Amino acid sequence: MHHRYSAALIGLLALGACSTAVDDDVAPAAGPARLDTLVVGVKMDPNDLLSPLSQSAFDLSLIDLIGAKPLKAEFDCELRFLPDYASSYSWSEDGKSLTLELREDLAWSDGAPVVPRDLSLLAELIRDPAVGSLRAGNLALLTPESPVLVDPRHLRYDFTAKADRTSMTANTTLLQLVPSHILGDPSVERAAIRSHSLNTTSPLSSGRWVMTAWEKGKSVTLEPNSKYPGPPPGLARVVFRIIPEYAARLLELQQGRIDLMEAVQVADADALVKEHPGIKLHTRGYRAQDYVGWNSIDPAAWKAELEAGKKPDPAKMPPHPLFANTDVRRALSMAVDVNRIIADALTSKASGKAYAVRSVSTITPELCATRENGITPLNYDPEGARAELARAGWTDTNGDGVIDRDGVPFRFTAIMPLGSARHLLVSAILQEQWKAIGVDAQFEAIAGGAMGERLRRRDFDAAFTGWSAGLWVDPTTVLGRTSESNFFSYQNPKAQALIDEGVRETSPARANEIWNQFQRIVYDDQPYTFLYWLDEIVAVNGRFENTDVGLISPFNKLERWTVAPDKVKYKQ
Amino acid sequence: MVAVAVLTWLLVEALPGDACTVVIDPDGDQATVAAMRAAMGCDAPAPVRFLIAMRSLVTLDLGMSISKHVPVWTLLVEALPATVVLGLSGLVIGHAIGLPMGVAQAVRHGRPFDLGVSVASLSVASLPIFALGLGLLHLGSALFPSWPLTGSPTPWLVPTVAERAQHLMLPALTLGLASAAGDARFIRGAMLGALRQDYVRTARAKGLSEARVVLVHALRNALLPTIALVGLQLPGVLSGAVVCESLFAWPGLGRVLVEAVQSGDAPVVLGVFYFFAALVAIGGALTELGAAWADPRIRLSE
Repeated sequence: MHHRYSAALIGLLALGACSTAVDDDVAPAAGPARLDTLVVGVKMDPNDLLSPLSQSAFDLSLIDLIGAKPLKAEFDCELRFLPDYASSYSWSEDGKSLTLELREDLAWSDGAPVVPRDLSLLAELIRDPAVGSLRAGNLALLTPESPVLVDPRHLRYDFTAKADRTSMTANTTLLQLVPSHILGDPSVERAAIRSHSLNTTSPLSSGRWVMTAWEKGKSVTLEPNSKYPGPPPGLARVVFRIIPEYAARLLELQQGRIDLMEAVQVADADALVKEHPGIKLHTRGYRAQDYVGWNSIDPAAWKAELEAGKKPDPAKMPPHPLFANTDVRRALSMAVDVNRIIADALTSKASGKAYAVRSVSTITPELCATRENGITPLNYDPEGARAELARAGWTDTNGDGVIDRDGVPFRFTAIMPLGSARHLLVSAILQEQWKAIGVDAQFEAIAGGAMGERLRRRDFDAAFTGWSAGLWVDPTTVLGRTSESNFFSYQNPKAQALIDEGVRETSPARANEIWNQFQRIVYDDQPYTFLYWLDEIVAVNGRFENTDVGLISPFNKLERWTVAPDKVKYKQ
Repeated sequence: MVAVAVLTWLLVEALPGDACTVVIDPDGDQATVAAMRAAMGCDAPAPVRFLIAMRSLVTLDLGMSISKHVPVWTLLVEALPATVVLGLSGLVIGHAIGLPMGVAQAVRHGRPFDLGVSVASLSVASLPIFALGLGLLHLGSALFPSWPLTGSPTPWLVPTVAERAQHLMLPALTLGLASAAGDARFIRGAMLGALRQDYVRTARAKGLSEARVVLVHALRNALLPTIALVGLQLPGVLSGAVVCESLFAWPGLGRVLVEAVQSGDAPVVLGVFYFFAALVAIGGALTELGAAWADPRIRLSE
């Protein structure tokens, strides 16, 4: 399980990206009549159903289905923007204004028309400190007056500076509208909006689907929104069944009582292929990565600063006794045989298909423009790693099998998520490979919330964790010098300068040069031992057709899914 | 209840992090982050948090869930019926299996059957309930492939009684088997004691059938302590429900608790523990009353 920032990033990912021309290829497949129900197994109930507040991956998937956005996103080598509430969009010549042409035929599920005010209220709510939106950063580059209603059909976002158009478009147009005819009422207190029934139980729909039932702890049911214009979806109903335990979800899938399950483990995928031919396996692409991150500052000093009520500055913190040295981090990476990990833990024993590729960056290889970054991965070289460590003063002076320096053994504990079979398996391999070079590594599994807190407080030596990558390049959050989420306190002025330059660069070609240079610098610094990108397996019952489970979300093109009339399972 | 409240508060305090760290973006504007944390009560000093927790016990105002944004009472009341149904079903199954098993063991005391059941019940009692449930889930799936074995009835269909029973079967059986092992051992001991009593010897001397001696004379007296056993089993049933509800996707209080612990939602954790403590206290009192009613020798004043 990736830590909580994954969810936040998934959210951003669920928000799409940009190109200058709108593709109107969004009509659902004509297909057979709406006949069947898709039953999806999910871990837990949604929490927040208003887009300024939504946080979990399931929240985001759900509101993406029920809520219209200015634009919709698809991914094919890069983010592409498609019409939704906006029928088209255009950029000003100076690259600082984005104008949306809005439709007038959308309506909320209670019958009220969708109006431009729904968009401007969305921005107000996101910016209002009383609301406490997780999306405030999305609008950071907008002028305070934005968005501006130009006329009843055109709305304009003005930016304070030029920046990468994909991120600017994604940040502003991939958020679901909010119903201003209810939330715009002065009697609705902004500070209490989290408790509003629109957020907690009964959301209004402006998208293709409408929530018709939510039985807490049991299921969430969606049906096509009859008020959404255009051809209806190809399914009669989508039911998300809440099944917290992975093993129970898998059994329900095998027995045919759920039709879709995300994040299937590789070992289970083999069994599904062999014993359940009616279940088809799909892969989503390289979105999530695992790595071991090295804390470059002294956690005790950071803790002391926090306890003194100060906000620690990574640049002023004493270095970590083990991992501040780049050569040491490189040696630890050289001792890891990533290809063996992929072969042993992430490759199908039955088909030989690998569900992971080696990772060298925080930027997903799905982004074609920055894929060819010129990085040559470090060779697996335990002898070279030993020699590197020896040059840094770490040798086994007492013959106990653990290298030491000045009487201090090279020993550390890495935290990792509790309950992840993959982390458990891979950690055993890592432990063995580091042991071979005289490094004593222990792993401590920690529950999700506590793991996030330990990372946030820098209370660890190393962390075996991961990111879910953004679908446009902006490393500010994960590697930016002052970012709270730069858990490993990575600092390199050259890399920071490239981040600052890259996010403002409007020429795609120049931006790609910057990001490739950035990736090479980060790889040389090895703030992480990069391991692999996972190709997440999604299992879907074979009766469904047109099942494109994409990189953005398995449900991103759900309106196109169909079932042949002779295969319909649920006729009610 | 006060002891439970204090202990629970200490446990919640020991957990790293809080729900505010999940709900509020730490990379957001720091003034906003601070204001939101203050509004949600995450930044109050420990003594203040303690007083708030104690006040909630006294006033029964359990506050709002930080992660779900609804009153804690709403979450508890919504989930209570499912836990009650599961818990009662588990107790009934436990006694339905454990009672005859214990009687049969006592009657065949020292024979291979007694030994075999003792080993089996000890093995079941030693199994973590998660492992027991998972095993039953796989077994049930193999034996009844068409039965819905987890969760609650299909949302958009009106469930039949049979379908409801199918959903309940495995979680209740898991809880029941876990308590049946203890029941059997308890009944066995009580029956062995009863079978050695003079009145049993007298009954046999009067020429009554062995079945009548065992089931009417010995069992009737051996059963009295088991009424109190129900009260003692309530904490076990509730803690078992926490695991069972997650494994079998049963939407009860245990599920609410697990989610709250995972998200660091202190008000909900405290609320569920208060609720559990109250249920155990009420259950214990009721079983004491039941025991007094069933056995005139027991008086409440004693």
